[in-house]
Amino acid sequence: MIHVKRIMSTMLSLLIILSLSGCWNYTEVEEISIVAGVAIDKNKSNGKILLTAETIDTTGGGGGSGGGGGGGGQEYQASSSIHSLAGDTMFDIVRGMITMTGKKLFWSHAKAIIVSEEIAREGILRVIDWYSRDTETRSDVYIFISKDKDARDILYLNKTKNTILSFELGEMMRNEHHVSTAPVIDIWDFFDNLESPGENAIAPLIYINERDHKKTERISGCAIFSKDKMVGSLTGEESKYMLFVNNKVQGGILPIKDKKGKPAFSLEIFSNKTKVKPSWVKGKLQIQISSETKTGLDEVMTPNGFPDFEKKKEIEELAEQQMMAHMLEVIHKVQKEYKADIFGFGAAVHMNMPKDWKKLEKDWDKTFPEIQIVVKPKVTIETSAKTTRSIKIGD
Amino acid sequence: MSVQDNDQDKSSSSKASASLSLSTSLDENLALFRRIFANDGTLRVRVINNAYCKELRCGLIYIDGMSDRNLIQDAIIRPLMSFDFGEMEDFTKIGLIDKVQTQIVNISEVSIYKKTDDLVSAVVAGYSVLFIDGNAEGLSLNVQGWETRAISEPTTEKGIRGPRDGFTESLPVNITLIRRRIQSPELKFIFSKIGQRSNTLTCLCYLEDLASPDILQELQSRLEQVKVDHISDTGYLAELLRDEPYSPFEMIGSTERPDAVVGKIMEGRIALLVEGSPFALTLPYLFVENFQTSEDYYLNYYFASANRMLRVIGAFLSISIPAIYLSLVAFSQEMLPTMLLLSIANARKAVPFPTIVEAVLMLTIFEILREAGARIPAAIGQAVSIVGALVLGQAAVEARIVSAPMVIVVGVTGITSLLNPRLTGPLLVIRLLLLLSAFLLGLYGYFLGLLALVIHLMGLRSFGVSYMLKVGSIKPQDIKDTVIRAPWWYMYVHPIVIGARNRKRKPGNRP
Repeated sequence: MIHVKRIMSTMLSLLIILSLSGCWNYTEVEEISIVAGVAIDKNKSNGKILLTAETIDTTGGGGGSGGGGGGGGQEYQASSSIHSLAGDTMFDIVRGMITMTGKKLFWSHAKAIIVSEEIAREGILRVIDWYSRDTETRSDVYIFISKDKDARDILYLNKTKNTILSFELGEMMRNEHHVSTAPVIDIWDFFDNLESPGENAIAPLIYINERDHKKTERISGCAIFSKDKMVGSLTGEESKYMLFVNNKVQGGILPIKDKKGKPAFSLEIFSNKTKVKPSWVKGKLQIQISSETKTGLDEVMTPNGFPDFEKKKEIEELAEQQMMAHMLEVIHKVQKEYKADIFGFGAAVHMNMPKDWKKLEKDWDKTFPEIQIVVKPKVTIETSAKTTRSIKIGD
Repeated sequence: MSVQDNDQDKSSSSKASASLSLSTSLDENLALFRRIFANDGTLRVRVINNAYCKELRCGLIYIDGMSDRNLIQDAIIRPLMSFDFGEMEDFTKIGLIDKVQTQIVNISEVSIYKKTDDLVSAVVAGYSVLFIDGNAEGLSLNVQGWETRAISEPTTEKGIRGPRDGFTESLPVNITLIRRRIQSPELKFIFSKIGQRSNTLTCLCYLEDLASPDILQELQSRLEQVKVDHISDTGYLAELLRDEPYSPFEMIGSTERPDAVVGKIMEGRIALLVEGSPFALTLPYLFVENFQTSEDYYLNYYFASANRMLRVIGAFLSISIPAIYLSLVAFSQEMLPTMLLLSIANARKAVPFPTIVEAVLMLTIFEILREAGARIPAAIGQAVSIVGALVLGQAAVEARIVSAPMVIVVGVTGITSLLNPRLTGPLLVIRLLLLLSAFLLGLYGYFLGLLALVIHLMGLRSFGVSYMLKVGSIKPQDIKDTVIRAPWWYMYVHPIVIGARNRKRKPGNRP
């Protein structure tokens, strides 16, 4: 009797253990089509969604791997191919892609989603919901909004550059913190911003940069969303000061003009810390933004602009004035033109004054443009790189 | 098995002799032995007459090749021939055998037997038996002597540092090697015979004040239950005495090195030696002993600990690498770094077989190479390595029969499996089982398999001692000789359970 019980319990637990294991399937690597990135456009003729996927070529005759006359010389040449398909829903298109590639698309290694501005202005949620919902996709993929052109045009740049473009975009985002001219947003952040009250979503902008008949992609600036619809954009320079307000700056360069308004100094940002504090001043909501930026002086463009390290106070003051002007400019622009709280002021009020937030939450959209902003930047120059003075021109 | 037990069921020839008792006539006794050893050309019978006393007739029986001829001539035949029995005061034939035993033969080990059986087993063991006319008893004289291999360095467990002597096939020599290292009356040797036809001499060896009496009793009762025709090597006994007969792991340790055996005896373990085998068994056996070598204890403890860790990691890698590779490449491609996935996909693109077939194929080929390398004569051993390296490695990849990553996987697996010579067998079995479970269920299956392995190991027992004794412990005294080898001055207690009688040991003073 005990024996039967034991066998039965073993069988039962095996049944549960083996069947509740989630998704598994034996698939050989060469039988999957690895997606590097996708572009989402609106099909011009019928208004459907047009999905363009960049997949990595492993079976195609990638360069010299076919011949390999010597000893096992199978140097891997990255190449990719691009497939486009239009359809009503995303998943419908994704499955339909099998009819074009012959293989199932494999999404876990995708690095970029590029959404065209047209789609973004109509509402981005309907095209990216599938991406966050599906089990095979990852939510750490970077999202971009393509300005002006169709999003698929950016993927087609790979024909001229002979690289896997989406991986290049991923690389760019990973090094973005050295520049700080565009927000680094993966799809998870994007949904987080969409969902949290008192915060509006942003996404980096991507352009095609053409010079000397050579086309390259360029990431600069950011798109501003109200709900899930894009309402406007900021330039790269504006984005930088927006990031200062958002406490997202980790590096980058702060160009400073001298008193006459000529560009004179470059400060390299080592670290930055920004605090946002809401308060009531004379019955009106006021947001105080104080930032602390540690920098190093790395470029002096005038001969006598920096006679010795004691003079750094002057430069610091200049930097503080200019930073304050720029930050206020960006905040006012967003307040007036787009009325979208991309700085998370609402969230700051929610956190610091939860009782007041309950009253303000309902018409925050109307409150936000009226908020008084006070900016107090503090810049410190810690080093002046290899020398403590500027280069003196001899007689 | 004790000697008395053995007597009850003797083989057929002995049964015939049991019915025949000795008589007072020398000729009858000699004829009896000739009958028992009929068709045995090695039996030698020598009749000796005394020069002074014509009435005294003796018969000497021994087996050629098992006895020392010079000793027989000098210590038995010459005194019997030349001793002047006429001068003896009360010369009578009756009781003469006592006088011969005490006054005439110059042999150290002499005893008188009345039973034919005892004399027969003495003769086959290389003793010589002396009959004297008028006495219905036989004198057994230890004149054993045969060629033995010289003591040489053990080939299976070579070391850079440490003693160079190894056990030989001779039991007395082996016992000497142990006794020389432990000169204490507490060191006990218990002899018994095993093998119903071969009557192989075995010897239990332990320290009375350290070894656990329970384990000793358990071992002796198991030895008594062994019913086997013969034993060629301790490997027979290791399999017949072990716990958990279906587990792939060794449950009894074996070593060729006397210093290793002494180390184990000093921890309260029991050693088992068998005539004709240069391998000593030690028990109880723990899982961690698979990773220990005697050299660990002679080298600097940092270095020894690093080596231990390498062996443990190697064993883990050896069972895991093929299974993990398979589950990553065929199930969880999302877990590979993108560039690695691309290069694997690229390497696999023209390979006709699925990854699982590739893996089983290459692992089998590696095992074939290993086995071939172990069996063939050294002179043509190079051919195997050339075929292995060139034909099966490089050429197979270039011909797109297997992918290059798989060759790397199998290569690392093979090397790491050779890191632990004691575990090569179990690891082979587990590796294939894990590969199979990874093939069925991916990473999930691999971890299920690993879980099953841990459960299996945790359930094993060697002579009542848990196989994984204290493996989960984090107390310093419990891990001092496991994954690391602590300095000698730190090892001041014996492992619990094994050395149950006396936990304290003299560690040597900390410098």
